[in-house]
Amino acid sequence: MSYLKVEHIKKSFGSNQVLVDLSFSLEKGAFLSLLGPSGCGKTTMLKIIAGLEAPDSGTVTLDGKDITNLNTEKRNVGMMFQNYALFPNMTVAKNIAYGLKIRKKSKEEMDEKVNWALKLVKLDGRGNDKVTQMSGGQQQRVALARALVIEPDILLLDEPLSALDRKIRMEMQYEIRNIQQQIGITTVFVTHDQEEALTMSDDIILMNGGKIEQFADPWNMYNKPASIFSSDFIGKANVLSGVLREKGGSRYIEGKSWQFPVNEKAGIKPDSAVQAAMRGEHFVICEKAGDGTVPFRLKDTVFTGSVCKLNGYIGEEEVQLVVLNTNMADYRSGQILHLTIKPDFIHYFREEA
Amino acid sequence: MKKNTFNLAVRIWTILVYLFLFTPILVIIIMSFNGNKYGTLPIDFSFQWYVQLFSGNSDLLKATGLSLSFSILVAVTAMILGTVTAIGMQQMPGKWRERYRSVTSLPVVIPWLVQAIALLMIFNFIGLGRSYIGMFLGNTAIVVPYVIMMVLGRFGDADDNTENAARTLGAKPVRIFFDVTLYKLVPGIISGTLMSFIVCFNSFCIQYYLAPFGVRTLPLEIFTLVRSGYTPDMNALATIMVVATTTIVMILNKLGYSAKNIIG
Repeated sequence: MSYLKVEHIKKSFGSNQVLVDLSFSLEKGAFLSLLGPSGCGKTTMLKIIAGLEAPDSGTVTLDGKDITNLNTEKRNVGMMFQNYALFPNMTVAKNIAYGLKIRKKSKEEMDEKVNWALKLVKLDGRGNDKVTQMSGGQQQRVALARALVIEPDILLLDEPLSALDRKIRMEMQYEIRNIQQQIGITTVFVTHDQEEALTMSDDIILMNGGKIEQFADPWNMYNKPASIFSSDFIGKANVLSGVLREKGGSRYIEGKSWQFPVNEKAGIKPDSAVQAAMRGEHFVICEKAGDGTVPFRLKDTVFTGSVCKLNGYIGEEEVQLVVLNTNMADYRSGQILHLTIKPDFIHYFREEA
Repeated sequence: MKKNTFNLAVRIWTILVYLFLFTPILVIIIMSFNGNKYGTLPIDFSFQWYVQLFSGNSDLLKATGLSLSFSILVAVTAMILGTVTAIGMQQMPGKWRERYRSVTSLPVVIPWLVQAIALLMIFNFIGLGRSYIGMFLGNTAIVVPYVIMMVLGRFGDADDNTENAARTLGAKPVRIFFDVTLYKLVPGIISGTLMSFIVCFNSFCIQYYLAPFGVRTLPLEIFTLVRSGYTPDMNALATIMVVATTTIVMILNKLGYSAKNIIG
């Protein structure tokens, strides 16, 4: 039974069609990320669910009720924003209690709920602090408490962690996910950071140009990309162009000076031009040239901490391998390495016009 | 070595600028205690001008009272008109808002003298002539832009989601205005109103052309006295005004309102 149902949402701003025809649904208690590059329409979609924007056509249904034409104030949503949007003239406790005050709760109930919320976000005892004197991470916790204390039907997050520095950001990802699962609240999370989406979500919708590019859980999103765009937006993929061939019952992709065996894929006939995506960490570096290996000319190495990236060429195409840092000393510029890769790890698609 | 000389030069220059700005005021304050009728040296310390100012039927005090009450009226009117206008302008699409902003800034751009004469001509034409109402309308018109500018400036960038946050928490538009928007605007409203008060209090041009005959606001009174002969009790009045405004600013500062808080 879908808790949130979005059907055929269209939205344009002037001549710019931001959402082309969006439909998806979400189970109760699930965590969904809307992921995509800037301008893909993810924030607009979130605002439509919140009621801050109205769609040109289509419907939004929450818990069986059609809320498409309902004002934001009447929807029971909890929302978090990139710049926290706390009320600067109020203390932490007053900020959190705001939604309860609007709902005319008694003082006892407000105090009880505010204390519960403060404990939930690990800010016990900070109720009387001024929000303007808190760090970004703390302010975001207050925003989370404020959104959850009203017991909303759905939690909407608009890139809430983008303004935080990396370490705090990773802590908050963990905290938000934890709290979300603890309370069991249905959540829609907008981000442009694919790592964030992979870490936190039950499901991810990858958006591009107002359309849904792929809807999958994190594992499938990463390992079974549905298009070249998917494979390159989630993680990094090397894209090689070639022609799909068949010989003796098995298939392979043939490039100018290389070829890789691949699995059969429905809908793509032999002798079609294709683009193949291969992730840098899936290549296997063999001891020496052998049957089925492909030569790789190493140009330079990039040290990034836990892994090391090897930039070089297969044929004339630029390719980046990823190896564990511990093996870095073995590689020098100008070397020729011999690579293989399992067919399961090659995702190929018909060449786009 | 060079840096020290430069710092010294800057410091000396700063002192010179401050002297330039404050010497006239200092002279007035000193002279207000000078019992000598013609303001000549040596200084004969005395409070007589202060006594004279407050005794009897002082025209100066009457004019000051009129200016004060009049300016407060104008400032409050401008505060309401300007704030409401700015809030309305914020709702306009960007292009129209800029056009409207140019129009409402006109009273700041057009010389007061020109506006004063033009207003007098209009008032004569409609039969109003020189009048309290005319003076009130003219003064309000020239100060409203200050309130608009200061309040509009407080709206910040479009990224501010506090109003949206309040909406998601269930607040209706009127509630949001009083709980969220107004707080954002208050520093701008205060500074705009203060500025309106000050400009109106000092506004000689408009009052000279629009005031009914015989009505003397402080600028007009001083102007008349300068031409007909004045006594140094004017210095006493000026000194009192300087001390009063300085004290108010100091108190506000102690209470926590610094220039940064008010101007935003």
